[in-house]
Amino acid sequence: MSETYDYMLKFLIIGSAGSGKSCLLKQFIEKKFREEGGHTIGVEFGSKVVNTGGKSVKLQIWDTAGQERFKAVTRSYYRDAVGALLVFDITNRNTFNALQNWLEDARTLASPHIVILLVGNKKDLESERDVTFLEASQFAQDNELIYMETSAKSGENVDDAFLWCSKNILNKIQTGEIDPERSTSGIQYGHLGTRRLTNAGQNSPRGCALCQS
Amino acid sequence: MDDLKLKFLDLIHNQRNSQKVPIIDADSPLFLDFNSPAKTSVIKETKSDSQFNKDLCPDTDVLDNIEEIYFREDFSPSRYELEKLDGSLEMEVIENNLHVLQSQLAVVSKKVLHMILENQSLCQKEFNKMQDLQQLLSETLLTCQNARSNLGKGQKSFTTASLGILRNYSRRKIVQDLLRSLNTIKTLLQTEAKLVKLLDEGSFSEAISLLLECQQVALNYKHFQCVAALSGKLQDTLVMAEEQLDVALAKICYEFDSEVYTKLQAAYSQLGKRRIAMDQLHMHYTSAIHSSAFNVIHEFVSLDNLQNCKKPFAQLCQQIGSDKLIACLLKLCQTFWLILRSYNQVVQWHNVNQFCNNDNDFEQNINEQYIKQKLESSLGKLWHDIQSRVSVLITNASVVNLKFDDFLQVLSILHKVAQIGEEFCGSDSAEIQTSIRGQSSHYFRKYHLSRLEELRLFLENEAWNPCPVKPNFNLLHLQEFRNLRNIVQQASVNKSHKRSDSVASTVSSGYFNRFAFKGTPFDDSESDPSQTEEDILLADEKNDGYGTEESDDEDKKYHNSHINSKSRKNVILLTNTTLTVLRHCGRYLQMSRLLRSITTDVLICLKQLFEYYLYAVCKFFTVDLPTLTQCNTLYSVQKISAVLKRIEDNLIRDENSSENASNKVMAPVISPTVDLKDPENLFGLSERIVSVESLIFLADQYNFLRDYISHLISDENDKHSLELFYSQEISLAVEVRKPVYECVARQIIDSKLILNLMSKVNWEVKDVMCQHSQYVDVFFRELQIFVMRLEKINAVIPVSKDVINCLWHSLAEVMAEIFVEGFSNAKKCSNGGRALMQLDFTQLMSKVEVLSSIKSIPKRDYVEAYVKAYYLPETALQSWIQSHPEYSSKQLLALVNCTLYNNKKARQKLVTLIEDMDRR
Repeated sequence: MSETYDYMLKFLIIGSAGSGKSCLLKQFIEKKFREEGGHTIGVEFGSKVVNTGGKSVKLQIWDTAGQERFKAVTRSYYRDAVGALLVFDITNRNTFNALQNWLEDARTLASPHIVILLVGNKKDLESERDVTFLEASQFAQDNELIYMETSAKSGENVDDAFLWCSKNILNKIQTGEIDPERSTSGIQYGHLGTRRLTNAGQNSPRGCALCQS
Repeated sequence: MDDLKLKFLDLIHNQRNSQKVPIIDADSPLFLDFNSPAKTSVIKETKSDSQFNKDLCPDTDVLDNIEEIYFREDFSPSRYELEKLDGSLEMEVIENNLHVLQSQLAVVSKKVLHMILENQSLCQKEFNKMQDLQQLLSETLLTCQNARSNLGKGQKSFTTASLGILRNYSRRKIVQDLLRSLNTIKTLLQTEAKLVKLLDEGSFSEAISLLLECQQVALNYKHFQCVAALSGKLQDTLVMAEEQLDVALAKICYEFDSEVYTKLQAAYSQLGKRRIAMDQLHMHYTSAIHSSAFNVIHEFVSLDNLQNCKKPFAQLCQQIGSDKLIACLLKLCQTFWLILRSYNQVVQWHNVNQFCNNDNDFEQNINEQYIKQKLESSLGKLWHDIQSRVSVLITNASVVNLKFDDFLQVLSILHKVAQIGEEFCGSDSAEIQTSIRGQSSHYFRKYHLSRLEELRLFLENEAWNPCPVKPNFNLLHLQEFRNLRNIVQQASVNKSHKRSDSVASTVSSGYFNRFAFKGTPFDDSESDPSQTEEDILLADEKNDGYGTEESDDEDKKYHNSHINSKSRKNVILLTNTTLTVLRHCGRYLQMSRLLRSITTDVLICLKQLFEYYLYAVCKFFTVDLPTLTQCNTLYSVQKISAVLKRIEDNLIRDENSSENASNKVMAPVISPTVDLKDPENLFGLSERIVSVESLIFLADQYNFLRDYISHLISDENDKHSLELFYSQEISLAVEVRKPVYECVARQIIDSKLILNLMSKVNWEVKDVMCQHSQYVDVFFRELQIFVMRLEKINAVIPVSKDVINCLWHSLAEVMAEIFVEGFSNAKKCSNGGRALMQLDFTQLMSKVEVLSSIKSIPKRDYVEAYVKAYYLPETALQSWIQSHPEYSSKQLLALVNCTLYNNKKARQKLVTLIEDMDRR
């Protein structure tokens, strides 16, 4: 019953309220879409094991509330996150305008090596588009991000977004840019003995603790 | 002569050709006899003949002399005469003879002629008569001939024709009959086609009656050879018709059509096979359940493997992936529903359509009774078949890997199935219950464990910031309680604990009515009316307790109002993790609602959720309580420790232990972002407040659920364990304030500094001082700083009166301890010194009273009693010491030393007493 995986990565989904963060997570994990979900309170959590680059990776995803008043609550979850989806709603310019703030928060609070993917959600509502692909791409380029448009409703690109992030983090581990041995790296080893392969001697605290779930 | 003879002969010949006239010589007697009259007449007529006349007289003699021999028939006269001569040929004799003979001849001739003449007229007359007769004869012959010919004609023209006509007529009759028969047979043959058509149309009754009629007709015509074959064919058709009926009957299993069924029943009734039909129908139901179950499963199991087709049902079920299970279960239930509905309608049909109304028809009555009994007894059997299929699927499919919502859906489906079972035949669906109980218990344990793990993640990431919610928030606002709201509220209002199953059954009443015609209860389980019905009564969904404000403006307003409301009594402080716990509670309760049987598990798990939260809060925030074990004065702390120990044993996995602790969870580690060491933020007081208050809120919510939960459970052990849980653990939440805030309280005051300052005070002053010592100011300054920082915290999070009280209580205790400790450090003490002590303490307390706005500061007695014990006489001191074990030995010894510094013996005695007490 225990899940096996090579790494466990801490992910964040951030962005303004109503941009569809929870729906993205639901679509990613359950392949379902719910029209009326209400706002997220505080933080919600989901996890899923994905395979990328020949490794199985358990994503520990924190879906944060977008509303300003939850900021105090959600900020504590930023710590050590190695991957983040920065989400905005392509039909709502306000959510796009707020990106800079979200990005700063993520850069200051999360792991310094955090891989952030800019996600323009609600791709299915093309007719109501308020932010052009070009604008968003420009923003991504200016902030050294990759831009991707998704639809949590149709599921388009949802998996790709998470997979792309995971893959990039794995790349960073392989190139040595991120050292998973550091306890605050936001990465934990899984069951499959990766640790022994990479570095036999060290122990990272609570390394296998979550494997039993 | 000869001429005459010839003439005679001719005449005779002419007169009678047919009549044979014997040829005789003219002198034959016969001839003579016959011709004698005629001869006479002839002789008369020929009178000219002289010889005759002359010899007339002697004629008679002559005649008489004629030898007799001449009259003989066979006489040849020549020969005779010749012989008579015999040798004596004498001329004379001969001449004589000749003469005699000639005379004789002449006489005879004459006589003959005479006779001829004599008989001439007579002859003529006779001739005429003869001619007349001949004439008549010929006429008669003609008539006869005519008659004969006419007769022949008549016969020819009348009799034969008539007979022919008669014959023909009768033949026609026969042919007509034959034609009719043939027509009937033809109709019979054509009926066959019509029958098929009727059967295809479903007019069974007509078809059968037609068929029966045909058979009857065929029986009448059985003398025809072709009819024998036809009758065989009809029999075949009848068999076929029965098969068709059977097929139609089988279709009834899937979709009841009253019209068709009525026809079918009529048809079977005609066949006299109603009972057989009923048996057959039941067989069809059974096989319908069997085959449709297989079909549904086959649909969902990949059939790449041909072997799959042959596998038993249970094995097939095992191959159903968890992703397909719900769809499969739904499909199965939908299919079964159709069958059940059809059966239900059959039963209803029979209730409405009683075939026999007259009690006289014994046979019908028997049939009717039989059918009724059969229908009734089969309800249970059918249901058993269905529920066993469902439970096989549930038992064998990988339910354990389902997502929670899906599992709930499975449960809710099964719940519904059970309800339908109840409605269908009053079955308690024990089999389904058992199968889900096993699966659910297993699933639930596993689910719970992963929820605990998740909870640990939440706790470890928890920054203990308050989650902004509306002041009137309670767990019913959570989506997870959506379906439970009414019930929970009912349960808490209706304290009489009526253990009605209303929760389970009232809502669902009448599936068979609601889905009588279209759809199934399983069509769209997300929007089951029974679920939405519960929601209708609820307040606007949008006001889900946490608002839906989009703009930050509103957010701020909200936040401000929150802060302003801090003075209010019911301020809600809760964390994201608290919400998570409550959500889990909601899910668990949903589960138990759908499945009463796992209530025990649910109860345990609900407890564990709370326990884990309690454990985390205590572990996180009492870690710096220096004397948790020493503070034996604090009963509540002891109680908390005991509970924590128990939780740790039951729930927390020992990292170092290798024991199989699969049902335990690791102890959480506090998030590194929480700083409990910074005096600036009062040693994480804000986080502590949030944590403890959220725990209390959680406990409140649990209390809110108490009635509902106890309404759920029926087992006495469970009830007891629930009682224990509430009395020992939920009630403990409030008491957690004490140790947690004490941690802060102990660190707020720099006791070392104060004690140091106190030790520098001269307690041997002669006079009673009117100015308090300096350390009191320092002490108070510290408290002022605390109040300042508390204000700062209060600006961010609402700090309730209770919290403040508790903090001050703790502080008061700490202060009291510091005072006693500080006083006990005085080696020597004068009365004035004692008075100073009192002064200092009272001074500080009065200031604290103002600062904290608390009326009666606790633990005052603790300090005052210690100070005043100095004034006790020696004898009273001893009993005082014995009755005040709350002071440490060191403090008591110091007291004794100060009080009895000049009475060594008494001092020694009390020291021994204290040391004895200490040892004990």
